[in-house]
Amino acid sequence: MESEIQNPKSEIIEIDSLIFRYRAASDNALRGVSLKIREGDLVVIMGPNEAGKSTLCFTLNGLIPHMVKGTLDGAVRINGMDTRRQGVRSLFSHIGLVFQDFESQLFSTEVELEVAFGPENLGLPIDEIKDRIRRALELTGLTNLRGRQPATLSGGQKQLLAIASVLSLEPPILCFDEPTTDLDPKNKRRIFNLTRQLLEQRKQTLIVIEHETEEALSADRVVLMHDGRIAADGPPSEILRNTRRLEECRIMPLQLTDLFEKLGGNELPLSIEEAKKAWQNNSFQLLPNARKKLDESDAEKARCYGRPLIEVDDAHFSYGPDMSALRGVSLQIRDGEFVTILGQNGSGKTTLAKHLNGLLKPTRGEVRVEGTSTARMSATELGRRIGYVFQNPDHQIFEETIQAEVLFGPKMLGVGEKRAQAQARDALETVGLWERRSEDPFTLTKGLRQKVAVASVLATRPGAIVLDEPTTGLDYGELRSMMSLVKRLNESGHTIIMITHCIWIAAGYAHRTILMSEGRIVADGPTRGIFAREDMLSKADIIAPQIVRFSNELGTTILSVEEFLQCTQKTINHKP
Amino acid sequence: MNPYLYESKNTIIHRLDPRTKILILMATFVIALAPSTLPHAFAAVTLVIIYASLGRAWPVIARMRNFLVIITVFTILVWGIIPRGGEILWMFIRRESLVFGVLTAIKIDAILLAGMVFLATTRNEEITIGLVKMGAPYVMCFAFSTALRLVPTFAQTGSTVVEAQKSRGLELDTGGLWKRMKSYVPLMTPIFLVSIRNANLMALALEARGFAAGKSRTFYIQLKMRLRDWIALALTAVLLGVSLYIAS
Repeated sequence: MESEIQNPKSEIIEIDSLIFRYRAASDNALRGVSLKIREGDLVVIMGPNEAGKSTLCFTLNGLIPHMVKGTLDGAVRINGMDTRRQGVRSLFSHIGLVFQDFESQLFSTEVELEVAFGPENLGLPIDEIKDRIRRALELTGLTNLRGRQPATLSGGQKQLLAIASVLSLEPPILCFDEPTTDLDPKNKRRIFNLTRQLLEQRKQTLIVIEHETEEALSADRVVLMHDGRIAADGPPSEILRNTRRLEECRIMPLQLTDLFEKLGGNELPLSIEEAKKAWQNNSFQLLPNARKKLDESDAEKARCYGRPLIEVDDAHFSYGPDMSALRGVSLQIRDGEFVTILGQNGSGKTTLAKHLNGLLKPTRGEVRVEGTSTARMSATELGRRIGYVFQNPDHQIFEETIQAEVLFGPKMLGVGEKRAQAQARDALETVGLWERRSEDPFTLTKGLRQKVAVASVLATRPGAIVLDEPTTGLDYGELRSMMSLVKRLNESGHTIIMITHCIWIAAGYAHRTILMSEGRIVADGPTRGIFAREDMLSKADIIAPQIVRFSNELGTTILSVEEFLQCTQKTINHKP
Repeated sequence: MNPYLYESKNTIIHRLDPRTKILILMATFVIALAPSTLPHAFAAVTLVIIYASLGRAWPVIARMRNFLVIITVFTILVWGIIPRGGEILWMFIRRESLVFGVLTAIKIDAILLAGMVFLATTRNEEITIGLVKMGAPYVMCFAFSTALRLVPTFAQTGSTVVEAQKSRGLELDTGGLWKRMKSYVPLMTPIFLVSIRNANLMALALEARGFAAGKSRTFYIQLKMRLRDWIALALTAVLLGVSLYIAS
């Protein structure tokens, strides 16, 4: 890079063969990490869960080892200060940390006071605090909400507030730990725009832990972590083209890069523009009958659908006066379908899903399951027909062994002991946890806890399963394993209704897509048809995945890398 | 939805200095506990009702109505069946027991109402700074006001957990007492674990933003005792005096 030569930047963070083991842990979380970060750089850290990314963040401002105990070896220096000697109380103004879980970082009763908290602790004069609040709120676009209570904000606004409350400390280094994991696509983009703004306007040093590969493109450097070590470190153009290394680190490669790698192209594109060029240069072509093939396979799936299972008839629901969440929703779901519901936070997705198993009853209109109104069915009757997997498995796991946890549902529904055991075994085998049935579910990783939650719903043998964002917080490896489980369930006859913010999952797995916005259904149809119309998606503030946009430019909507491979013809083989 | 009791409004009570409101609250406790006759107790609770109306705190109180009703009914029942003097009204319930039960219920309600008005009209941070300015150490005040704030957070976690377990077939309102108590186990474990985890994260977030880092902390909310505060305090002092005089 040119700027490197012209203007050598000083190193603001120096990490030297860092080793850390949490107290009571049997293994090291960091196993010798050395990393130097220069002032003004955007460094994106990627890696699977449990790779040590968050642990590394905690060492930067001294939370490790001062607040979180364990044994630390090696050194971390921020602006030349050794974190072991300085402690959080002298480091917090040099490096701001924003955690993944924004809910528990907010503790004030007013947006303005939340942002004031840091500068107050610095002991700054009132006028300076006022200035800093104004600047932080302007950058995050929260100025109009300054008097609101944080608890009443939307998820995206809460995350922006968590960032603003650290920005007001005006630290030279900022570190965001998965800032977009819990957010909808629109708010994800807002956070990314904010990081860009910070880089341009404030020459901020930024460290961002991120799962979204597309966002790593704009970084100065990408660091891959795996197993407590740094697995790769370099410019995004280099790291993101190494799809094999990415897969090893359980990170999702860019779909287009992945596609061209698998097609054997001699140049790997990172963007749609590059892909268009590479497509021509390699003289790739879609099979002439590609569209017909895709349409046929779609029709094949549709033929397997049975009778109507769930019917929603002009359903309205509101959580209170002026809190209307559903404004006249009608739809029909047939036995065996795989439906995904897309939409921003607050568009009514979860409210609709909760109507399907009777957790909520419509204030007007009707929801029928197998022809009977949910208003006339008991929770037990509904629970037998429609299972519901909640977003956070920790809200339901309570037993000491996985097996007991999974047995809970069938027992509650009055299934006999022997049959309950058999059903639990089936469910655990399906999710692949039968061998580990006597382990404590709390010691499992998030991905496996989510599978316990799925198994505990499966064990009640419901015909349909509602999944509310089943992949939140999972890394690419866990996510693929979860989705292939969901796919298998669908193929074995379960109706699947899934809420997700992850657009490529919706495109790649669901047969039917429902778009929601402001309590209404704005589009409902076969996934291919919906993703063919990017203008319609944008009405619900959704941008189609890279690969879908590329295929639309070629004139045929293709939803996943696998589909693309089936539909592509290599006229000239460039592979050496 | 707003899980907290505080409602931002522009009333005379909202504008009072938090120190004034803390003193009024303490005086109200004395005024509410002093009465030994029904008319006096009614007078005391009327004062609290006027206070609530001035602070337009009724929506908040309405949200807590079930709690108030349960406390009232329980107090009257418990004190009502404890034998005291007077003729028998019904079964074994004596007149004086009933009067005493009602009297106690009114006193307790008056205290609860005063507390709700305080929380409905005073922001957490104002409580903190009010206590600090009255001489309490900051860390303690912060812990106190944060504890108040965590109660509704627990409640929210609780309602999510209830939904999750209900959809797995957990039935909370059927069966005998023992069965019902047992059915709360699947609720308590996740609620406690999630709450402990959140509290831990919050401690880290506080530390990362420099909680109690330096010796001198600025307070963004600037307090000033105004004329209205002194008038409110004088009025409270008079009412307190009158109340104690009547009671003696």
